[in-house]
Amino acid sequence: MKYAVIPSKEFISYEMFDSVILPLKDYSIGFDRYFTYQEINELSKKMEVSVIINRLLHKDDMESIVLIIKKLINIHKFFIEDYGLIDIINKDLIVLMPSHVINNYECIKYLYDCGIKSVLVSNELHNEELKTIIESTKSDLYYFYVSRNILMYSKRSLISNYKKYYNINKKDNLFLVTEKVSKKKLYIKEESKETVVLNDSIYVASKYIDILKKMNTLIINLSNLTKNEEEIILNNFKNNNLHNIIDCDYYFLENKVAYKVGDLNE
Amino acid sequence: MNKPELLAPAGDLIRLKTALLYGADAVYIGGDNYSLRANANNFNNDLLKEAIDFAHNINKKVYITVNMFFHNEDLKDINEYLIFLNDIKVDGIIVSDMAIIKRVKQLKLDLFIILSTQMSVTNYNALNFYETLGIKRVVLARECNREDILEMKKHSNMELEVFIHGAMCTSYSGRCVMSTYLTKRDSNRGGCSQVCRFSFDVDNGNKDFQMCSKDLNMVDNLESLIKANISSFKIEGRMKSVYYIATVVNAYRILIDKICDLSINNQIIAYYKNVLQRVSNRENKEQFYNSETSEIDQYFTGREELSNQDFVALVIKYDINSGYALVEQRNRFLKGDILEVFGPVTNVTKINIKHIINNKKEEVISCPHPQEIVSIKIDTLVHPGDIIRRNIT
Repeated sequence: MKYAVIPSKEFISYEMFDSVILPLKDYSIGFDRYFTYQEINELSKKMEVSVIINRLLHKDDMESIVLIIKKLINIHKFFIEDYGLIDIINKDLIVLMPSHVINNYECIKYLYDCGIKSVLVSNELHNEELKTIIESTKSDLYYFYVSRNILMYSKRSLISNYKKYYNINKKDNLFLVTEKVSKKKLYIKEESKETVVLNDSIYVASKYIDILKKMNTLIINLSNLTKNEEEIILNNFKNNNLHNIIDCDYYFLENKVAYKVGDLNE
Repeated sequence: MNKPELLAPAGDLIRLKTALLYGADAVYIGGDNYSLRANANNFNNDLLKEAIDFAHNINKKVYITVNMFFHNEDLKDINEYLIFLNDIKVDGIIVSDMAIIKRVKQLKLDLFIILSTQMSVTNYNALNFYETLGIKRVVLARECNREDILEMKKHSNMELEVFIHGAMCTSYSGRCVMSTYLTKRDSNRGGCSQVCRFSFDVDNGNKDFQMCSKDLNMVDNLESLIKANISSFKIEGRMKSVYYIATVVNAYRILIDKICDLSINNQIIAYYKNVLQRVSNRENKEQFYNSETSEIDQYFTGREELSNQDFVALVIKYDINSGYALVEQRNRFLKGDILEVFGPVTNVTKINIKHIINNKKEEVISCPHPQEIVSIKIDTLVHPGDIIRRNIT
């Protein structure tokens, strides 16, 4: 099992990790720092580098990304959200990462049969579900092990629209909002006419490392963290007790998501 | 011009019959499990069979939604269900999860597989991939614009299905688990609690934050979509009322037919845009088709949901000799009101309520009671199941 890092804005200690995953500029969303193909190629000379392309791609994006992908050299894996890229990238290099979609072993087995042998498994799964998936599949499994996760991805400019509607003259494109009834907090982050919603809590799966260490790669995503949070994580990401050191949430690792409203215990 | 299929939602058997009789070519419905409306009435296996028989008897189609994202344990009984759907000869299943495609193939079932909008397809390269899996039709992401759709049509022979009316997710469909995290109801297994319609306080701000989208209405782009040779035009709303289904299906049936027989004009378009705005309690817009969305495409201060009282009465029977129709009241109407009647075989016709007779055979000047049965004089032929609504100019 490897640890891979998605860097924050000022992160430079790549040697701490087995591998680095770099969000491709203009084709990724929800991270702190994006990399051009030149920057990626520079780093890939020195260490194992993968690339994330997690935007859904429309006509113009597809036309341009084909050219950029051709320019990327020595890439370990391409983490892709859009199934259209399966048509373009060598299947052996693909890690399919459609958000919140890969939730069962049968789906992973079918993708394997189709030549997609690496997938990112959802974070909304119970530890027993993950165990079954690990035991019943041959694929290389990847997992967000520490991450402030994206809960929603929209093609709308939700912050710009809000500011226009209320005639607000602020430049910030990151809001912390609180739901009025439950008082739960979310981060709203707008980038290039699209918006993601991030969980307030950091997801940390260290309590179940004994199960998760059987996966191929555990991802430490340093995006959207405070300096203090980043420091704690970098000092402790290999510590099986990280979930007790940092304020975090791993509810779904221990509680199965209710299927129907009647299944909710409360 | 090839006429596209008009595909309507149906949350139960009454809505299914309404949709098909009011002009839909096909309906999509969910079984007791596995669809994205886990808490709707839905159809048990007996009702599914009855629905298929009803539709096939009038040469129409029924597609079944099996479009949630499955967890391991949900797969336990899925084979039996897929075999059942195959046996009752459904016209297709709408799926999102690759696991279901795998099972259909393993079981060697002859099911027409439609990829759900949950997979957010926005480019032809994705279509090419799904075609290799044996998928025959794809419901495109509602975020596709005109150029995206034309490009996909140009490079793929796959049947394309597009949404033309109804509610929108704020998110790319399927790419949202806000409901899962905030209310512990699974966004992608039919439990979505629509967190995107909640109100939020903004830190260091004094105006409520909302991300709620207005609805979709593609009336102005129907001709463009028909010319693009789109196979199926889909209406959203398995939880909507019978009146809503009848009105929306009837409106799009007439618009599509008139575009295809070249008898459409601006007056007809304006009339039906008005009909469609009034039937919904939310504003509807064309959303992404011609441009990026903006602040006018969403709500910020809570939805101004007006209670719609256009549905006046349902025709139970009509006596051709006396010209009196027995009707069941839905909203108050008065003697002297100018109303409209329309139905599966009744063109939209204005009617003047000259006489109202109550169940004691007395002439009255108003009909105020919900579901009151009265007779009204109608000078045009109407049929059981026709709908009487307020005059829409």
